[in-house]
Amino acid sequence: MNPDFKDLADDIYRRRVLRARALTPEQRLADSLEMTDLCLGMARAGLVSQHPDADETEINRLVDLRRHRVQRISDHGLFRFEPISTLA
Amino acid sequence: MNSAEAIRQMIQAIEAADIPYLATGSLASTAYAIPRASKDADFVLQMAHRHPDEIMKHLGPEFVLDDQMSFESITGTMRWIVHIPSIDFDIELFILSDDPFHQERFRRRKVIKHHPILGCPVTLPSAEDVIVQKLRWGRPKDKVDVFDVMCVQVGHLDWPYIESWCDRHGTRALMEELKAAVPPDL
Repeated sequence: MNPDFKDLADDIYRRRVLRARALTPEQRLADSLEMTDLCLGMARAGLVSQHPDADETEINRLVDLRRHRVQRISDHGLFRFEPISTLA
Repeated sequence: MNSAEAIRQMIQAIEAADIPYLATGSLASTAYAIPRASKDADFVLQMAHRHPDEIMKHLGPEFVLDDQMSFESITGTMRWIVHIPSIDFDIELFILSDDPFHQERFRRRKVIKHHPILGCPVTLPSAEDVIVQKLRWGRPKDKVDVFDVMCVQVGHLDWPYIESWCDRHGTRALMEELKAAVPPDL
């Protein structure tokens, strides 16, 4: 990190921690769910903006592609896959 | 539907199938740390040798079970993924393994009885167990979550418990590194 910004970054993080401490676990969970819906909506809106001529089916396909890419990155080296049909 | 509604319906389906469960992942870490968005919700289910259809039959067509299952490389824990395409959200279902830490984490789980957004009770691991599990996985986002829990929960953590599991898992050095980075004035 650029040392010029370290104090600012530390102060921002400190404020986030103090705000989180002032909330109950229920409130923290509620905040995260609201943020999740906002971010999921923004991700879809971003794809619509990048592909203005795409119809709903194409946008859904692009959303799926992005979701699978994120999943592969998150799972890399930690999970291996098998077809669920092999489950007894 | 939104993510809270999807999670509420999943919890009700799990309970309808009479399966003891535990919410983990970002749901658990944000309950003890700084709220953040997530692409999914994770549950651990005590249901060895049973099929996911026992849960899926209680859910509507918006919930789609992935045709692949996966195995976590450290403990072999089995995972199924349920997609909710209408809201671009996933729910991951982990089957409780025989791993000693997974068993202990499940035994120590706590119930939040009245969640204002979910509208139903939700069962979570302890803050210490969130730290131990995320240190074990050790991905970049796990380290951030661990650090956030350490910072927000200063003075409320059972360090001997955390240290004992980290010693067994070989994650003590990483734990100490993150703990040392917690600002002393927080």
